[in-house]
Amino acid sequence: MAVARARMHELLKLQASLFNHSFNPSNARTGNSVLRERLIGPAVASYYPKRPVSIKDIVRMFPEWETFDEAEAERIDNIAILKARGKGPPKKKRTKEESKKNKGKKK
Amino acid sequence: MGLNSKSECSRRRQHLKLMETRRENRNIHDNQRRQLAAKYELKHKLFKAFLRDPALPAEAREQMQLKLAKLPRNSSFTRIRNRCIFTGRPRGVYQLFRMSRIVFRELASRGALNGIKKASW
Repeated sequence: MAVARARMHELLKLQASLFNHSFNPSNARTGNSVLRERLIGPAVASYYPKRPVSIKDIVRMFPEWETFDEAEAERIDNIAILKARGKGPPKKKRTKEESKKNKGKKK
Repeated sequence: MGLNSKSECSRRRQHLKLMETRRENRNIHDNQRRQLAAKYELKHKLFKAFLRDPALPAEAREQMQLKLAKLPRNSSFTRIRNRCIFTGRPRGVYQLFRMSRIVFRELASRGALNGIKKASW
């Protein structure tokens, strides 16, 4: 049983409106094919496993807790000793002339 | 002679360690790219869809092309490389297991991967 072409056309149109498809009988080029693709962003972004939680992370999460970091304390102590001996970092140069002063010269 | 070979050995070990660190850094870089790609995915798609639509005036489409090109380069999916999550090896990585063939073989033969068994018939 042959169905009229116009009737078929109507049916397809209705089908598209019902199922939220785009109705494009002339097969015109639209950007739909790009929009129809599934989003892969979340899957791609979660490729690498998360870092395991370390003690450092916990300390950072609760800054109000009193904790003691031995390595950090030692580092600060060492810096204080160096500074007392006059071996600390040089002062930040504020102007251009100051920063140019010692350039190119070897001491 | 003995001393010499020892220092050679330690140097090689140091070199290997350096390589490992570099590979880890590559993984970190790749992860950043992945985050960026996920962030800009919708924008990429939108601009591309407008660009593909010939019903729009040429000027508007050109503008969309410009916008697409203005997005960060690292937000493109083609820049992403599947790397081994353990060693950072860029080649010979099984997508399903996200690890290189070497790590996979090691773990599989140790029985650390569920359902993986050495074939034998």
